[in-house]
Amino acid sequence: MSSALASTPRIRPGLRLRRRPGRRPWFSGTVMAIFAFCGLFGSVVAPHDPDKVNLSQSLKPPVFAGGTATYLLGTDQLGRDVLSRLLTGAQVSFLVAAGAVLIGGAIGMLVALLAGYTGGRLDAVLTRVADASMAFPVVLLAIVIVAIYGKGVTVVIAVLVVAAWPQYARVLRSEVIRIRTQEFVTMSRVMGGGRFWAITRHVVPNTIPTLLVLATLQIGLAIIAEGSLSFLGIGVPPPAASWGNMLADGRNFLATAWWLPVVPGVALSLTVLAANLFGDWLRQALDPATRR
Amino acid sequence: MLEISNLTTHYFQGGQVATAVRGASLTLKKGLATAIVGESGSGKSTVAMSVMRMIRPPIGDIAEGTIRVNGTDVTAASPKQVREILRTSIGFVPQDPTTALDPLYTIRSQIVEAMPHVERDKRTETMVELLTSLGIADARDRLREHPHQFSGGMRQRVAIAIALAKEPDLLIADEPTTALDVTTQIGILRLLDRLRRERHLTTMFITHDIRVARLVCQDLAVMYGGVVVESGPLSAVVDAPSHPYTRALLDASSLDVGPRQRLRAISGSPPTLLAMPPGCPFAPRCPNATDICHREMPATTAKADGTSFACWNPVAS
Amino acid sequence: MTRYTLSRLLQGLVAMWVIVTIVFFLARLGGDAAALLAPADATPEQIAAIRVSYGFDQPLYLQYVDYLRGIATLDFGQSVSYRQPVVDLVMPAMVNTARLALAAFAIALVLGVTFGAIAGVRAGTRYDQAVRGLSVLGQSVPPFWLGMLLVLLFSINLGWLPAFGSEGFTSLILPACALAAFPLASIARLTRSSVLEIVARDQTLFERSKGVGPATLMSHILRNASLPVVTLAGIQLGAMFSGTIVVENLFAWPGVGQLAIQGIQARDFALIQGIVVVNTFVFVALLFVVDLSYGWLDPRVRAIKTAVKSRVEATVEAAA
Repeated sequence: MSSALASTPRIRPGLRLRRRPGRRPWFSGTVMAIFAFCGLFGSVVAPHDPDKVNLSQSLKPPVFAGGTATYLLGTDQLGRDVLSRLLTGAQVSFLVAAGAVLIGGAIGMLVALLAGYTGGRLDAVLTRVADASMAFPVVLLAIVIVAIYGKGVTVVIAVLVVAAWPQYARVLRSEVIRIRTQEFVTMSRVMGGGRFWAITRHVVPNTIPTLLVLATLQIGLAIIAEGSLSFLGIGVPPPAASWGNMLADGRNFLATAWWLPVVPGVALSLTVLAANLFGDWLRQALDPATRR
Repeated sequence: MLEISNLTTHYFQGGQVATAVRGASLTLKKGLATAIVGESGSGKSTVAMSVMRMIRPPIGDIAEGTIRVNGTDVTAASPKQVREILRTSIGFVPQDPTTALDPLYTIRSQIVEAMPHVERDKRTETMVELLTSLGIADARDRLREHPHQFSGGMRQRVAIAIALAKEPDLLIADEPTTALDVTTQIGILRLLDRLRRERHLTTMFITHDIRVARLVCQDLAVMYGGVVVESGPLSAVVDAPSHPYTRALLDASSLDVGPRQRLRAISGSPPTLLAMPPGCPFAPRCPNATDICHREMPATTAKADGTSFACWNPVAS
Repeated sequence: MTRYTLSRLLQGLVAMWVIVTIVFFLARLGGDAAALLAPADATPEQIAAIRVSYGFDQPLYLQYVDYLRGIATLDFGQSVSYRQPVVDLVMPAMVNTARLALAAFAIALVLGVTFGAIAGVRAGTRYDQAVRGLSVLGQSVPPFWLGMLLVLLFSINLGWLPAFGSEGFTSLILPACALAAFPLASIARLTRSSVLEIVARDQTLFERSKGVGPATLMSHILRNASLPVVTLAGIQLGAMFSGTIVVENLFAWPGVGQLAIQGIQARDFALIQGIVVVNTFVFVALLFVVDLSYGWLDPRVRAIKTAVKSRVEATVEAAA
C-alpha cells in the first residue's frame, strides 16, 4: 500500500487528468431496450398463455437443463410456461417503473420549482417535509398503505411515488436555485421576461440532464421495490405474473426446481444492473453536477 | 546543497504523455534563496514536486536526470529513503494553507507529525517556541485549536512551522503568498527572508511574479514550457537578460508603468505540454525566432556575469 | 457542543412527530378507522363497539392528542390478532431484528470501508475495477433473491448452513449476508470516491511532505474520507431495520418484519401502527447518533454556531 500512497496525484491546473471518454453503454443500452420492448409487447410475443394451468406439464426444466423446446425456460408447479410469465411479468415491472418514475419525477420537479423559486417559508416547509418523508422506509410505508387501502398495482405505484418524490425534489431544488441565480436567467428577467418565461424557457430545460440521471437510477429501485413487495405478498396480487410473484412462488422450489426462483431473479437483477449502469454512464456523459 | 541535472518529468494523461519538465538543470547554493519564475504550465511546480518525489505512476514519473539533496540522489532512492529525506531535510510551504492543513486535526497533532526526532516531553516547548518565533501570539493555547480557527496569514505561519519543525536544510515554497491578502503577503515574505538568514536555509521559491522574487531571492531561474531558459544571480539576470522570454517577462512586470501607459503583455499563449515542438518552446511567440529555433533545442551558454541561458538568438545587451 | 446536540435532538423529534402524524391521518382518511382495527369477520355491532372503545366517535383533535399521549408512554394499544398489548409483541421482535440488522451492518461497514478504501488509493488498477464492478452488481441484486441463491448454494447444495430459523450463530450468517450486500456495495462505492477525492487534495500532498509513514497518512485520509460515509452508513443502518422484512420473511426470522406481515394478513392495524412508530423511532435515533458522531469527527461542525442556530430556526419554523 505504501507505494500506492506515494503516488498521490498532484494535478496542476491545465494538467487535470481528464476522465477518458466513457465507452458506449452497449450492454446496458441493449438490456434496457429489451426490457422496454417486453414491457410494452411482452404478452404479445409470449409463446403461451401465461396463466394457463396444465398440471400434466408441471415442473418441466428449461431447454438448457434437459427440457424441450416447447417450454424454453421450463414450467412451474402448475405447468404454466415460465418464459411467457417472465415476458408478461416484464409488463408489470415496466408499468410500475414507468409510473413511479414519471409521476414521482413530475411531483418532485413541481415541488423543486416551488421551493427553489419562491424560497423563504414555503421552501423551509417543503424541504422539511421531503426530509421527513425520506426518513420513512419504503417497505414500512407500503405496509401502512396496504393495510389501509389493500393490494394492487396502483397501490404499488403510489407507494413508490411517495417514496421517490423527495429524492427528486431535494436534488432538483438545489439545481433550480443554482440555475435561477445564474447570469443568463437574471438577464432575461432584467430584460423584461416574466417569471413564467424564465422558468419554462431557462430553468426547466437546464434541470433535464439531472432529472434524466435521477430517473434512470430510480428505475432500478422501482423494479426492486415491486419485487420485494410482491415477494412479501403485499404487492401485485397473484395470480398475475409479476417477477416478484414468480420469485415468491419459486422460493418453495429451491431444492426441487431451481429454475423457478433463478430465472425471474436473473431477469430482475439484469434489468436493475442495466438501469444502474446506464444511469452511471448518463451521469458521466451529461455531467449535470459540473455543467455550467 | 540541491543539484538538479538534466531532469525530465512526464505526466500521464489518459494514455498520452505530457512532458512537464524537459532537461532542466539547476543548482541551489547553500543558504541562498533561488526563485523559479514562470507562467502556469511552465513546469516550475513540477520541478519542486520531482525533488520531493511526489510524482509517481500512475500520475507521472521522472523519466531522466538526477536530483541530489545533500549528495543523495532522490531519483534512485526507495520510497522509504525518500520519506527519510522528507522527514529530515526538506521543508515544504504550500501555496494555499487553507487547503493544505487537515481541517480535522489540531494544530498540535499536525506539527508533532513533522517532529518525530524531538523527545516527547520537549515537544510542547519546542512547538511554542517555534510558533512564537513565527509571530503567533498565545501559541501554547492555540496548539489545541483547529485550522479553521486561524486567519489566512496565521494558517500560513502554521504551515511554515510544520515545514520548519524538522529543522530542514532545504525549504521549498510553492507560491507561498499567492492565496493570501496583499497586506499579509509582505509579512510572510519578510518572515521567509528572515528565516533563511537566521537558519541558513537553502530556499527554493516558486513564483509567477518576478517582482516577488526580487524581494526575497538572490538567485533566479526562469522557466518556460518545461525548460530552464535562463538562470544565474538574480541581479545579473535582471540587469542584462539574454533570453527574449526573460526580457518580455521583465517588460511585462515592469514597475515603472505610469498612468495612461500601455501595459506590455507577451503576445500569444503558452504551449500545450502534449504537443511540444522539438525546438525552443518559446519560438512560436519569440520576436527573434529563426528557422533553427523551431527545429532544434539551443544549448546552454554561460556568460561572464555568472548567468547562463539557452537561446539561438539572445537579446543584445 | 450542547447547543449542537440540542438542535439535532429537536430536529429528530420534529421528524418523528411528522411521521407519526402522517400515520395517524393516513389511517383516519383511509375510511373507517374502526373497521381497520376490527377483525376481518367482525359484525357491524362489533365495529361500533370498537369505535366507542377506541374513541373514534370523539372529535379528531382529541383522538390525535390521545394518540400522541399513547406513543409518548409506549402504549400502542391492543393487538386484535394476538390479544396482547402491542408493546409486548413489538419489543422482543425488535430485539431479533436488531440482532440481524446489526450483524449485517457490521459486515457491510467493515468490508465496505476496507474494499472502498483500497480501491480508492489504488484507483485505476484491476483491484479497483473489480471493486467497482462488484459494487454495481451488489446494488442491483435484491436481497431476497440473493438470500435464495445463498440458500441454494450453502444449505441445499453444500449443506453447510441452516436455510431458516433463528437458533444459534450459524442461522444468522446467511440472512445477514443477504441483507449486507446492498449497503456493502453503496458504502464501498462512496468510500472509494471519497478517498479518491481526499487523496487528490492539497492536504494529502502537504501531509506527505512531512515524510510520515503510510499508517499516519492513511489515518488522515480515512478520517477525512469518513465524513460522507458516516452519513450514508447511518441511513443504511436505519433502512436495514425495514429492509430486514423481506429477508426475515425468507429465512423465517422472528423479527419485526415477520410480525408486520402477520399484522397485515390479520388486518391488525394497531400492531402495524406500533411497528411503524417503533421503527421510525429507531431510524430517527440512529440519524441523531450519526449527527453527533459527525460533530465529533469534524471540529468545524461544532464551531459553526450561527449555521446551527439558523437550522434550529428553520426547524421551528417548519414545525409552526
